[in-house]
Amino acid sequence: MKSIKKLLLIAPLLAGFSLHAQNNTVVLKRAFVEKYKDRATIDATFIVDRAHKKPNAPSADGDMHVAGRAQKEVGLPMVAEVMNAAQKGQAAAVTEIHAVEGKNSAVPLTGAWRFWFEHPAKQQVQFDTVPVPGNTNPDHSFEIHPISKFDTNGIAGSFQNVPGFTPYDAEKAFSYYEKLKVTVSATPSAVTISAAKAQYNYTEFKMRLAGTPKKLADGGYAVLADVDGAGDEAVASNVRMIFVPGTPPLQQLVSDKLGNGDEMHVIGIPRINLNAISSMVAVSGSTPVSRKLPYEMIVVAVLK
Amino acid sequence: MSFPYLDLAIAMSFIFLLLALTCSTLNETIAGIINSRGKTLEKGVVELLRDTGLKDKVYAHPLIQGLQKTMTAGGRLPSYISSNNFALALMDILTGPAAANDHGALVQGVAQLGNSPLKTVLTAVLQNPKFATDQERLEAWFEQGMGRVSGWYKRTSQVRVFVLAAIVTILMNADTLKIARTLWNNPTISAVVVESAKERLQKGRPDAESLPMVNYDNPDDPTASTPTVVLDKDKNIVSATDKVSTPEKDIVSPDERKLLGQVMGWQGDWYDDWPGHADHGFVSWIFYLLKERLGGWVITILAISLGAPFWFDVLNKFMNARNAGKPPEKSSETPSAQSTPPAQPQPAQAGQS
Repeated sequence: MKSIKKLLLIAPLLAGFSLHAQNNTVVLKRAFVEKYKDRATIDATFIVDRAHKKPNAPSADGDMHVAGRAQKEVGLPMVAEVMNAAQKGQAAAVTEIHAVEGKNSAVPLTGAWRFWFEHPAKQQVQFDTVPVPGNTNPDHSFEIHPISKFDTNGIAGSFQNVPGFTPYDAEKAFSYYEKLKVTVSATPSAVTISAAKAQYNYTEFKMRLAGTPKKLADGGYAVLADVDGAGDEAVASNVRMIFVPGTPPLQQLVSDKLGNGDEMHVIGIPRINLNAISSMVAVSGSTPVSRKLPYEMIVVAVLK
Repeated sequence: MSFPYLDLAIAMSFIFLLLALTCSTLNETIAGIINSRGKTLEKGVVELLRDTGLKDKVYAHPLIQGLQKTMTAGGRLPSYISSNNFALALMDILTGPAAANDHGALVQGVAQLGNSPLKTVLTAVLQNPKFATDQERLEAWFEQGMGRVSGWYKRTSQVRVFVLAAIVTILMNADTLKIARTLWNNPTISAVVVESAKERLQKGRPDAESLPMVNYDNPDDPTASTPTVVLDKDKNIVSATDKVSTPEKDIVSPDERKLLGQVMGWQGDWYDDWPGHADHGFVSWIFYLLKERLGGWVITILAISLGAPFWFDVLNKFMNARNAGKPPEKSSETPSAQSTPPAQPQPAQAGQS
């Protein structure tokens, strides 16, 4: 009994040690950061090494994972994902993915680039030789997710709600995103980014645009917005929202001429905001800076 | 409603937070007084050049000397040298009267270094095909070396914090087990500590890590971000916005110091207070102390070494657990930062890529 009581007395210490998160590091080329910091998408020539035999069940998110390599444009272990992969509109793309799987042939691919420490390795250096992945979900911090075009198959229409899937609620997910930390430093040619493993894809939220949407170099749009939870409580402010060219969310943003004060009810996926990283390292250089992780949301579906 | 175990966890986390803040303040003060960063940088440059004479020349070069506060008059060593300045200064020294970017003169200057290890290193560095110019090659070499210097500095700082944690723990007789017993047996003090912990949480995380990396000042231009960090002329990070350097977050207030005095200290443990002092000597008292207190001191030292931000997060989690069902508390920053973080999130079962 006495030892149990002692254990309880030092519970905070034990809890503290167990909560001590480990950081993971990715070294990106500075030129890559500069090129993609204000783009929604990336074009890559992608070798499909391993793909899910069939898409995830809708209740699990409806995505199809494709592990592969884009040595020239990405140079990191990565996966690409088709959203709403079981739906008819994506059938031709899914068929072609399986047709080229394991053939070592590069196929043109476009989609939202996504840098996020969801399945990170301890350290990865961009443009080191990328090994052939052993499964559909190798350790990676980089994704093309969702894919908007695979070879000649345009699948930007897949950016819509996944029937049967329940996204994370805004309050839970954004409270988590806002708490994430990152450390960055740079050399003239590279940017080092370290952070703990992160999670929470596909979050449902209401956003209130805080400015005018701005067209990006690849035809996508970016806009700052405040985020509300289900009960209209503010959960985050001035978050950059990214709209991918050709997708239903972007079509609605443009066709409805949405701007400051307008609201959208959407589903989004978080990614690291390279625009913020770029601005920071321009000032801090090789001095490591630790701050809140700057993130932005890829808008992947508009809800009614 | 009473949560005795949770209140104890909150109180202990809060006390560790205050002790860690104390050590952190002491560490920063000491690092500033002894110019630890500048000395580590100098050691790194010597290691890189493997030649103290050449190091002295580099430090005496006007490009570097400009960073020093009248070093010849007993000023301080620079705590930061940019790779650009270092490369230019070294090139200027090695090329002699020729232009600093004269490749031939630079190679000749390296050749004149004799059979030193630096000659071998620089010969290889200047042949690095990854870079277009000699300056870029030297910059990359310097940056790589400075990566090691950052590691040294961090390790030195960690060791210093550990030593300070030991000193503070013993000076304050901060025995975790004794403190916990005091709190457990005295619900009144425990309640006061929990209330103070709530106030401390309102002040925000005791470092800059909870602040944004950039601001978007123009709402119509989401591509124009302004860094929130400001560096001083020695390239040390000072602050970005007024919020960064709010001193309240980083110092232990007088009320909190009084509170620490109520739960720890030497009352009852002094030699004169020890019941055996009449029959046994001073050495026996030391052994008595080690037997009774060493375990608790070690726990406290390890806890302090985890740092104030860490204990702030732990305290926040315990407070959230205590407030389960209540809305998150507000602070003074962005709406999102206002919400206290949720309990440790459950692993994602869906939507994971």
